[in-house]
Amino acid sequence: MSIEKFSYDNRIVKNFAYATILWGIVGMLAGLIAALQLTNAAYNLGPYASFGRVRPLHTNAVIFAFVGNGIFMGLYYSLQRLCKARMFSDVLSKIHFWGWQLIIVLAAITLPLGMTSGKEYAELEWPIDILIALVWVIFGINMFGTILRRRERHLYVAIWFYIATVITVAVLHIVNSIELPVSLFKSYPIYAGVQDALVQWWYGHNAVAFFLTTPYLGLMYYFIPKAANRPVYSYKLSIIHFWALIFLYIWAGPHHLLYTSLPDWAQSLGIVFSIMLIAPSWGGMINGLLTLRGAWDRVREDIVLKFMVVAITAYGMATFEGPMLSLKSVNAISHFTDWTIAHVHIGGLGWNGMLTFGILYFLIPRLFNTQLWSKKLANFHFWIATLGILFYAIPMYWSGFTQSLMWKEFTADGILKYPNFLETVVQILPMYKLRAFGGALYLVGAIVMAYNLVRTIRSGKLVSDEPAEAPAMENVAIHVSKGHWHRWIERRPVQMLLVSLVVILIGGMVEIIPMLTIKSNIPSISSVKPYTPLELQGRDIYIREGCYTCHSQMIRPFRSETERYGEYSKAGEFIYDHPFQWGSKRTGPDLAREGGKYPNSWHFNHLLDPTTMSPGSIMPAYESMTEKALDISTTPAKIRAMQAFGVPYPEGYDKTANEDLMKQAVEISADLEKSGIEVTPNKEVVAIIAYLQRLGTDIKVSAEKK
Amino acid sequence: MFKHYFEGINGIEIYPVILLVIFLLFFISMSVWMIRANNLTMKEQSRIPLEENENHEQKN
Repeated sequence: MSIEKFSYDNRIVKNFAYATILWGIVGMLAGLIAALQLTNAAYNLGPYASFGRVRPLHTNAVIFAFVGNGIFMGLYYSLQRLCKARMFSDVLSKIHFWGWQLIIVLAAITLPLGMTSGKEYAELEWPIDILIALVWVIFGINMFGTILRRRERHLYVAIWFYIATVITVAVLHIVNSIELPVSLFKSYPIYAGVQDALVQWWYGHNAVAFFLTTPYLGLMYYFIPKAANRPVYSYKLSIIHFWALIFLYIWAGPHHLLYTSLPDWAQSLGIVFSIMLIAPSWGGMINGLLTLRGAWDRVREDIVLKFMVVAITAYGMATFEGPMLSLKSVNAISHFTDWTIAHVHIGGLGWNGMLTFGILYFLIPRLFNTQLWSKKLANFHFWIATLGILFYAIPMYWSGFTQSLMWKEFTADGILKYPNFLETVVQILPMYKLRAFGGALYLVGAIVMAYNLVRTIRSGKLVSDEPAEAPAMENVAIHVSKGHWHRWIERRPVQMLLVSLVVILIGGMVEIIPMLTIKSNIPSISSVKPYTPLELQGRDIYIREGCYTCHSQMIRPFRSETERYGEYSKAGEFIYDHPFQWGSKRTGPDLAREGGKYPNSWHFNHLLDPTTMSPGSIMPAYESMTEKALDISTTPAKIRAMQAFGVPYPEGYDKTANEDLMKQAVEISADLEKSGIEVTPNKEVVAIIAYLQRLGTDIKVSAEKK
Repeated sequence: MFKHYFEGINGIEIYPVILLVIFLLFFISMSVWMIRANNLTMKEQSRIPLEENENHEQKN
């Protein structure tokens, strides 16, 4: 058994670490801008930086750029050492790194330009989606090649989490990104309405599960024992909670769609599995925290352990809160409110952020063979970050509850106490200011960390290739007659990948396939017709501006909602919506039955400057829509795409669609002129008015007919 | 659009039942294994990240 000498690639870890720090600050800054924009509409700077475009910039930056690079940083460091092997290919490492940064830069360019798919956490358009898939496959090959080349036979628990991450993220991304391009940076998903909602939230929740959770659990399982110099509390527990977690998590997606038009059976499945998920999630938390049993005094001294303990605690909190929010009775209060935002940020700032910081403070001194430059600054970071989380979450809990209860309150006479939605927004603006302050604290902490780490780097020298040695793994077929069945798979990474793949596919298939195949799940409504060409163009403007980030289009079957908005939303109303636009948040009122509520002139004035129609509104002004001409050259391609999906436009309609478009636009323009508004029919604002006036009117038509 | 693909499957209801059985078998077996697993082996495996500079003798 010869001892082989090799070296660990630290340069790639360093690169990912630098990217993590940089994009962390960028992403948090975008978040701060978004938070400020919610305190005052004046912070919306022109068409490229309105809230609707900044919000996806923030989410993409913190999830894929900050956490993404954080995953790779920790994974590339730990995998090599757990496998006792250098990364499979230095070239693939470099392609992975630069490919990922290219994706981020493309996101940073395209999102402010309004090139978005309109689906949360999947906003990037189709060319970038393809790039993501390619880079992810390269990462998978590099990772798997390293595992196959390993000199440590047993796959430590962290590696199982990495394998599950790689395979599941690939499946999620590919399935949710099946879209038909109509131009270089515009596409429509093949799914529509309820089906799109289900696929989107199967993806969205599992982006949380398999991008924000499982890889970070893998990192936790490596870095906590390293930092504490103690093994995990219970290896058996790690096995059982791994399999339970990856099986159960997939099913939880429908908890984003409670009390919507999603069929009840799918909602119930989502709820039950979300509650069951408490067990494996807390298994992870218990394992992480109890690793420190008997060593808690060290947490006082060690800055790395401090960050990690808060991270795991936040993880435990968020994974209890999540299942609670999945209960219908709780969800009836929380959905569309800031409570959801609070929950997200406990997980994001607490679990992902703090663990990333802990790992950075652990890794950078080691990579550069030096000591951390300032323990005092690191401690300052710890406290200001923790304070930041509190100042973020507590105001959001307050505002979420306040707004929800105001929406639901009736007077003694049985009418809504706060019929004007704006009243409920104005009431919580002070909380939005506190939240922005909390975010600012967190950002300051990150900047202080960056400074501290830069000084640390300057005081040391990179150990770019860390020498190591280990005996080669014997190529023997080990007979597992006396061992236990799980040992079989712990040594077989390919089988582990395949079994994990099967396990995670089960939940998705059970929930999604019936939605796609059983007609009764989406009762059709005969009066629902496809959008007119002008309305279709208007809808694409709605998507481009990210209106769905503040406005929902889903009236729930509560009296408080039907009184405020009209008849609750039916599944059949959305069958032609590629993509669905139900939204997740009501910073502004629901628009599902907006059609016909206000005259065209109201909408024009409101889009031009919301405060003229709604004094005190925080909605951005969309002046450019009244000046910019609508690009109607895209209409034929859009009609053809819809026809490919089965939307019943007449054959050959793509050739004549623009005639209908102009006719409808001229009608609206003429109507506006009667109210004293001069606008030529070819302006974008005319299209979006057409769309808004169409919303929810299809079933009013059938009601009238009765 | 997708409705047409699976329309011809008769008796499709058996699949969720099979799924439930697989699920139960998997997790019950895993729980039994876990209760019976050798604690010493578990301990060794949990120490892998802490023994980076040591070379294991390759046992089974």
